Amino acid sequence: MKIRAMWCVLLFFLASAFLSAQGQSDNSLHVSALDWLPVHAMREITSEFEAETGITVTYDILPYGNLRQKQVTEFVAGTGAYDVIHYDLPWIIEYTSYLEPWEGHIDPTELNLDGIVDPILNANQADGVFYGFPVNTDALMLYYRADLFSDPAEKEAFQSAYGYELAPPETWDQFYDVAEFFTRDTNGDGEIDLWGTTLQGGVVDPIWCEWITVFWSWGGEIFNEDGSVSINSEAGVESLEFYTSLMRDGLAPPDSPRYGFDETTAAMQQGRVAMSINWIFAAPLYNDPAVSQVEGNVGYTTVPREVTHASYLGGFGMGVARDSNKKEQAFQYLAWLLHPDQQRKLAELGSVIPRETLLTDPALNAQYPFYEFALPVVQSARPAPRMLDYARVAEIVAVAASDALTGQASPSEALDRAAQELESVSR
Amino acid sequence: MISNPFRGRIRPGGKQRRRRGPLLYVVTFLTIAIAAIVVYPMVYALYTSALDWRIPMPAVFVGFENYLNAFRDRLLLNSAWITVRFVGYSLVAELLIGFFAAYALFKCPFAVQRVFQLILFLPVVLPPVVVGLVWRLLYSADNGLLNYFLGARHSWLGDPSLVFFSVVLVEVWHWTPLVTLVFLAGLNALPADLFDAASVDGAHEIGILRHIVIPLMEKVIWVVIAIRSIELIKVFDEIYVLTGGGPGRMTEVVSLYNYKLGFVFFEFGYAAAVSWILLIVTLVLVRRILMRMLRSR
Repeated sequence: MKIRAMWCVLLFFLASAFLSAQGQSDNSLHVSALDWLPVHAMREITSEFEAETGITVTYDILPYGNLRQKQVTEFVAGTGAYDVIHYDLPWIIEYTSYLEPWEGHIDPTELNLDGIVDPILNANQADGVFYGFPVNTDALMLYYRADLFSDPAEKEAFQSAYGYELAPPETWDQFYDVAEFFTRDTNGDGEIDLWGTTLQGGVVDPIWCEWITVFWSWGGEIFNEDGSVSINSEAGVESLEFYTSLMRDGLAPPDSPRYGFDETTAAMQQGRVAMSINWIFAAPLYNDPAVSQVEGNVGYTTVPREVTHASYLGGFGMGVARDSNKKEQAFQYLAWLLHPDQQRKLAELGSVIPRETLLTDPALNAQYPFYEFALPVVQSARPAPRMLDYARVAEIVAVAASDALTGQASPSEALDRAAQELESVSR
Repeated sequence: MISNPFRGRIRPGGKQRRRRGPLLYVVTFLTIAIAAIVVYPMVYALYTSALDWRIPMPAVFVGFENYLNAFRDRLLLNSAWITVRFVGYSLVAELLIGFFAAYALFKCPFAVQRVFQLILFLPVVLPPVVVGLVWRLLYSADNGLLNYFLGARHSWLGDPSLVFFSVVLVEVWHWTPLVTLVFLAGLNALPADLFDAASVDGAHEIGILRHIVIPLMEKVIWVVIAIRSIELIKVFDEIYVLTGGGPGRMTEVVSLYNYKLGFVFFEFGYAAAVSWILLIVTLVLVRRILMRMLRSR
């Protein structure tokens, strides 16, 4: 009797293990998405969709470091666990194998494609086929303490020290001067407590995005037209030397090699830095009195240039998983979500939508003053290299930049090593 | 009524039947468990290691190529060297601190030992991820407690000259208490009359340690070395949370590199091969340690 009972228990566990490993067969859509304000905004308005159609939508939220892993693991295992995928634009080439093309499911004219900012639109396609649609956009901007910059005493001191007027830096040389000027001990205790700038030195994504922007602004390219590696070109070495000099000369907080988005944002919020290169998305966070001590005192401008202005184009898209068994409902949800009406609601909730009409809308501009710069920055921003092995390229470059930043290798050594490693990455 | 352990299976007047039921049941469960949890993944990993499988591309059979590439992989060799250093420093620190802490406790009355045993268990039962996260906060250059109490500004996890020490410190903090507890148990099991005889003969502390305690504890020491080596070679959670392998690749131990291969670059074939290499290396090392242990008196 006991043995029989035990066998039943064993069978029960095996059965439940087996069943739970199957894809979801209920009438709800499962979305895999980033833990991010724009996503929370989407969740908020989704209740209207659920009410209209009777389809429930559940969001599986993950932090950035785990998102791609989880999604790809589910794809490879073929579980069909997710129907809708929220993805970072650089992953699109890899995801062409996992996402369902939009042709035949959605009529793009309904979504008013013309209003979408070009670089973002292109970033969601591969070989002219749409695999996803842009839901938010982001790019790097230069933030600065407008109160410090407009203070007459500061202006005078800067003018006499450097010979030109204090203003948000246009070139990297000016950026260095301003950073040097503002790095100081403000309360006389012998310790520096205000730094000129933050440096997003964390490996992989923070330093990858930030330094590659500097590199691009020097006119550098990771790969030449013919596919050969040119990360260790003169532009590469010079831009990395400049970037490293900011850390070496003490113009950034000592923990910068560990800084990611959170730490960088906190540094400005706590009034510890005079300038900060950060994402458009940080703007509302600087002006939220609940978390920011510098509310109302933060100005924005484009990232300085050496040869040209550059910015790393961030942003996410959404697509339907190829192994989903609820594709039609999934496309129905996306068509609803990406309709201009819903996009306006999302914009009002804080999501930066890559539509010209919204970015130039007067009401939204009044609510979000940084929109003034968001449109030109996004229009001139560059996406990450579109290739299958994007993750490896980012890691190699990030490690090289980090090695140089922490003084473990000279910029030219680090970049030569990176070039060597990049040779073996498939393009 | 006295509870009947044979539950009525005793035949009246006959020999008691041997209970085969429970044994069969246990063996079945264990076989299924081991086959599913241990053997199947290992065999599948071995099969995968013979493939060039970078998803989403289809897998291609390549035999030993992944293993050959491993020996030429500069990054793998780099992570192996980092792992060797990490294991070396951590093991030496844990053994020294653990042994002397255990010896000091051994000299204390039992009540004191009991109290410390309780305290020492606390770090050990914490999940590695929690330990990593807490120490990451402590190490923060901007608002970390460590800098606060030291009145310093060090970037414990960002400064190349400090990060290795910082990571080893966390590992030692986490596991030395376990080493201490094991050594304490070993010391308490030593025959008391040896110590009495030694003190009667006028031996001093160092002599007792050198000639009595350590030789008698040799087996225990080797077992601790074996167990800790295995864990240190595999270390992942704390380092992943503390540094993610950085700055640069300074703390990229083998398991971290393997993780990147498998779950960032999605090169499953090569990652499986690296896993198998790690397994074989660990097995060889532990076998040698255990052979040493068995040879000691």
